[in-house]
Amino acid sequence: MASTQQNSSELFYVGINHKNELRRAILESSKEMIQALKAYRHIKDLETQKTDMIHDLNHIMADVRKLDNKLKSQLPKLSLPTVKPKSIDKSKSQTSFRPTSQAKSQPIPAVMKPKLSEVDKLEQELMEIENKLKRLR
Amino acid sequence: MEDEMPVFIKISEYKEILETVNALKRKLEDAKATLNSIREIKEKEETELEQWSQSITDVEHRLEFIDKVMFEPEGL
Repeated sequence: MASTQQNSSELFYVGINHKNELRRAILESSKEMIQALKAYRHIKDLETQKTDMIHDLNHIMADVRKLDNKLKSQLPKLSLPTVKPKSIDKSKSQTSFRPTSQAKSQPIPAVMKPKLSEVDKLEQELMEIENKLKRLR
Repeated sequence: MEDEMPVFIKISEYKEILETVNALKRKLEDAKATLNSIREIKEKEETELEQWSQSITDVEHRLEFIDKVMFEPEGL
């Protein structure tokens, strides 16, 4: 206890210049920080709104896709002119492939079709539509 | 040849097709409106972020001032 009293008598103080400006700066910084926190809440709300809207848009686009498929099924099917593939010389193709005895003994592995992702499926569909459009021109 | 050939659709099916087309139109309008809302929200978000950045810069300047004053005590 005595040592604390002794220490307190030896305390030094530092004078601060521009005390009023300093106080103002501290207060204004606090105010600004509180406003920034308020803005953060607002940005968070906007983000939630945006996520909800994107979710809604996703649902609408799914409906559009369903309706588009429905329309496709309702419209009469027209056979479009197909591009004939180049004729293959049968005699050449028959002679060029002769399975060897080794090849005969080995079992042919089953071809695993890779599972198509949603984007791949859409891309495939897009390609089909583009091909149809090309044939229409 | 097939290009010039006329195509006929049953009245009932034709009506169904028109209904589907109208439903599609409505859905596309909805999609457009939702997209516009998203764009508006995005713009608001951008403005808020800009203001946020500005207030951070302001606080930074004030802190620099505080720092400067604190390290220049009276009488030194």
